[in-house]
Amino acid sequence: MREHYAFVWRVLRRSGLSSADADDAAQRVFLVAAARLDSIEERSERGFLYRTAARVASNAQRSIRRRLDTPGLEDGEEPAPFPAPDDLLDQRRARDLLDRVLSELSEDLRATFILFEIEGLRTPEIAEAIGIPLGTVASRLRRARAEVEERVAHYRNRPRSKGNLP
Amino acid sequence: MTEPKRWLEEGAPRDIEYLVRAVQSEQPGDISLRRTLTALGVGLGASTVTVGAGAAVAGASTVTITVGLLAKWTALGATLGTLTAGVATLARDAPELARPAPSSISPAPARLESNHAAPVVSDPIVKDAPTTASVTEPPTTSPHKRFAPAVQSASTVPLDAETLAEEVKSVDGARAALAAGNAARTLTLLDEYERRFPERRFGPEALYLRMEALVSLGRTSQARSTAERLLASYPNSPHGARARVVLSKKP
Repeated sequence: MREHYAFVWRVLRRSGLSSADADDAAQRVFLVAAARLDSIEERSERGFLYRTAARVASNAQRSIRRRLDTPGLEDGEEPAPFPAPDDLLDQRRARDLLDRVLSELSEDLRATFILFEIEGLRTPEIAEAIGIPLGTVASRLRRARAEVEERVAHYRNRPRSKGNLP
Repeated sequence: MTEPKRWLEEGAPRDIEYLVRAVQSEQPGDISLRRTLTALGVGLGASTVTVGAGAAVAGASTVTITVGLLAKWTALGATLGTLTAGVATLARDAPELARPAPSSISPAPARLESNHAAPVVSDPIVKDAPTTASVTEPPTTSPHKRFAPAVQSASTVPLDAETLAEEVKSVDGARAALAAGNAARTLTLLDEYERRFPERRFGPEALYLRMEALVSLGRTSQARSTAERLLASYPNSPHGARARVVLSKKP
């Protein structure tokens, strides 16, 4: 149970939801799954869960934008300095940074990168989950890697402002 | 086509490896998982599910839930708590874990034609719902009425997929109305939700949506009352933070 739930939860987190919103969204995903069990093909569970999670996350983001006084990383706000691998407290900053980088990718590339590199799905699974040809998965993966590398380099080389941690 | 290797296996740059591993290691909390299981009515606590008709489980009061539909799909059945075809008997933990967690998510996805379309649970628009009164008129329902948490009744009502889907649809409708900026209609739909579903598996979310609708309508004192009820009835709700924000503002 944990594995599937964690998969859905992380997909939602990578879609830009906070932990609390991801909790809510994950519940919604599994409620949808429970209500639609009859229509879900065997061995296609993760694809179903991913598609549902993507849609739920999209709706959630629209809902969140309408909330009042929601704290968080505003558009244009720069994330914290590049995290140091030897600092355990930087785990959160590392996640925040990668989320930021992923948010700058197109949805197609982001989905492919998340599902392959982070969640470990095989390319046929990804093709089925997203609804694209197998060859397209491979090409999107190459492009996603290139863009992620470029964006990470951008943040790594970003000049540090005063008061930031070294 | 040869399956590509993971970037980390091929030798991704060190900092990218660090970022990816940090994200991979992120896990949802146990409470998050248990809330979802509770909302589904399939289990609480640390693996307290016992499979088999009539099996008794030591501990708190037991709930017998028919999960034939869930068990049909054994993979998800296992995901949802190792259920088999027929009846599963579950032991419930502390009452607060029986309260379904709210969802702050906008309406269910629109239906698509493709086979790969995202699954749809409900039509977010509830047809033929009564129109709400003008914002200048007295509310159709008193926000000051006691909103008792549904934990007791939710723990004794059999769960079936159809009822659950209807309840999801009802809350979806209210959420859609709020997202569309129709706060008055949101309140009407929430009144209907409470009438139709006294168990209120989505009690916290319903209170949250009501609170937000009242804020949108400028009915500050009623919004504050609703926020107080949300915090009192569901102290562990993720919407507590928002309720506290509402209460922190000057009346």
